[in-house]
Amino acid sequence: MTGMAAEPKLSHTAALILQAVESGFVYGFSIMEVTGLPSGTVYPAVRRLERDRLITSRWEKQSIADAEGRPPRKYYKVTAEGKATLATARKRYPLLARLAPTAEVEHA
Amino acid sequence: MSTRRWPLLPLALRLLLATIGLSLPRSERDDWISEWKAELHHVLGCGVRPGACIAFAFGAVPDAFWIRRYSLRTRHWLESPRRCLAVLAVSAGLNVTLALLLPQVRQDIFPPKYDGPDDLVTISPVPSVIGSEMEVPAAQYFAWNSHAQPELSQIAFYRPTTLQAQVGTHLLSWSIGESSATLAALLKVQVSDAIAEMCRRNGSLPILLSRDAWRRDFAADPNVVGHGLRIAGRPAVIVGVAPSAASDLPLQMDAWSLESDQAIHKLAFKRFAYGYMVAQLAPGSVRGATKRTSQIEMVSDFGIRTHLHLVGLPSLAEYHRRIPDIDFLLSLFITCLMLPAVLAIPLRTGLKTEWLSIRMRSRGWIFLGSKVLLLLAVLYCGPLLIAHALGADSPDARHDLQTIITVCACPLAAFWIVDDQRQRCPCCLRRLTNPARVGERSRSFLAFSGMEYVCAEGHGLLHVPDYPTSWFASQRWLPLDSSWRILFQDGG
Repeated sequence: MTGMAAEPKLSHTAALILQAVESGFVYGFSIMEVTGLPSGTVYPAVRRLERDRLITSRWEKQSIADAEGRPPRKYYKVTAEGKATLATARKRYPLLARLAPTAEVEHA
Repeated sequence: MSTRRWPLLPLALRLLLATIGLSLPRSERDDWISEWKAELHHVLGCGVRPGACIAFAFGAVPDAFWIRRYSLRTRHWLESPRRCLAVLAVSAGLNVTLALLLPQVRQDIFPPKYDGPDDLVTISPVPSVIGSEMEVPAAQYFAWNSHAQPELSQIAFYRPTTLQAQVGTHLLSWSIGESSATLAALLKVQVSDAIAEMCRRNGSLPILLSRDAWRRDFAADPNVVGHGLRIAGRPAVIVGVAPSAASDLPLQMDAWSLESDQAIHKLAFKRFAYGYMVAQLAPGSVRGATKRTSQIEMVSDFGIRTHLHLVGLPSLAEYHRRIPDIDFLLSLFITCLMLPAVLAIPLRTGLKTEWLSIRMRSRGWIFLGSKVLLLLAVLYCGPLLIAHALGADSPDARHDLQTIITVCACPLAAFWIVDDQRQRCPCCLRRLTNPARVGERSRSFLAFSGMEYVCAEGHGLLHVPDYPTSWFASQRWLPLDSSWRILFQDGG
């Protein structure tokens, strides 16, 4: 019984958000747009996923943001653990795969 | 519709985000605000409807709640002892300042001294200063008033009743004392001959207005004398305004109707016609009754001698001024009686604090004492301010409301003080964190059912039983030595 860490069970909403991030919708508002969920649901769910280490976040480079004349964004990325969890969630929620992939481009 | 029509919307939403951000731990605040502002910038740039922008920004509230709830760095808002005292001091300061700045509230706290005649006394069958116990039957008043009383120069009687008064177009419910005509003379109110003649000619009822009713219902009109009104349908004329000392007579009246001797005489034949007797001491009387209660022997017209009790109006006034303080002390006393229930688990007696220095031990008690003192100031002034804010216009109504609020608030305050003190570290006085219910084994084998708290500074663990048992009757403090510090270095 070693190394059998219990995989976190995701709610449908959390799985949908994780799928959105995996599909390339990498910041809060784009996740809202693609999932149709309100901001009050998306952002706390993103924090929870990050706390569970299913996604990680990093700030956009200031120079890129300055060049486009806007404040830098916080981007999210699915971790390896998140990908494994998402694969399990896809079996549970087959319709998740229908979410359009890579709609947004991250400005690295 | 775009946000261009709402030029101030971006600024307002940024302000909203900054305000919500204040609820977050400082270490996480900047990051959180930056992310939300960046997202908002994007939302505003997309030409989304203003309503949607506002809904988006309000999504920050549940997000902030989530972070506050799960962040390791979130602290209780009164965690630090200095912050706790500062919050209490600001509350107490605000309450006291407001109470002193508002003239009516200030007058309730510091009532003006009695400035009426020193030779006025109330006469009652029992040595009491409580209004309802000082009543005498109207028939007795007549019996005593018909016979010369050597120690009294004048006697007046009034019977309290509630009647409808029509002032202009306003209908008011007034407490009116149906009194003998001598009351005006006793209170040193000069009724002009012209007004008295007018009352006689028109059959109007002469009305002596109390100072409170004069201020409240006539806006302190200086020309109120001669003003016509109707009392229970009868025409009446205001013949004067009673001095402020009249408010210290038994039961607070809005006005006194100065009835003829015949009308008062009719009262003597009514059942349950009880009222109050006021008298003026004869010149040269040496009984000094104005300062305290004393006895007097009064002779009726049948020659029956009765021992009655005199209470000087100054001492009655002094008693009335002390009632709010007495009631406040009574509320505190009731709270003290309830303390054993609040203190079912001893406050500090269970803690072995010998290892603490005297300075640290005394700090805990000073902190407790400061909280008590500051809360006392809040509990004294706060209910009075609430009573005024709720529009209680008569002093009695204000006082009743103040007493009810104080009686309810004192036990809650006591509970908070004890609960807060119980959950503080004896060393640093910070509130203990991470409450955890003890496990099944402790409950089964150690008969300990309770909570365990930890000091975020690493000073120790506190075990608080839910209910006292023979094995675990009081709190237990487990000090942690310096070897544990490494675990807490990052926690603060």
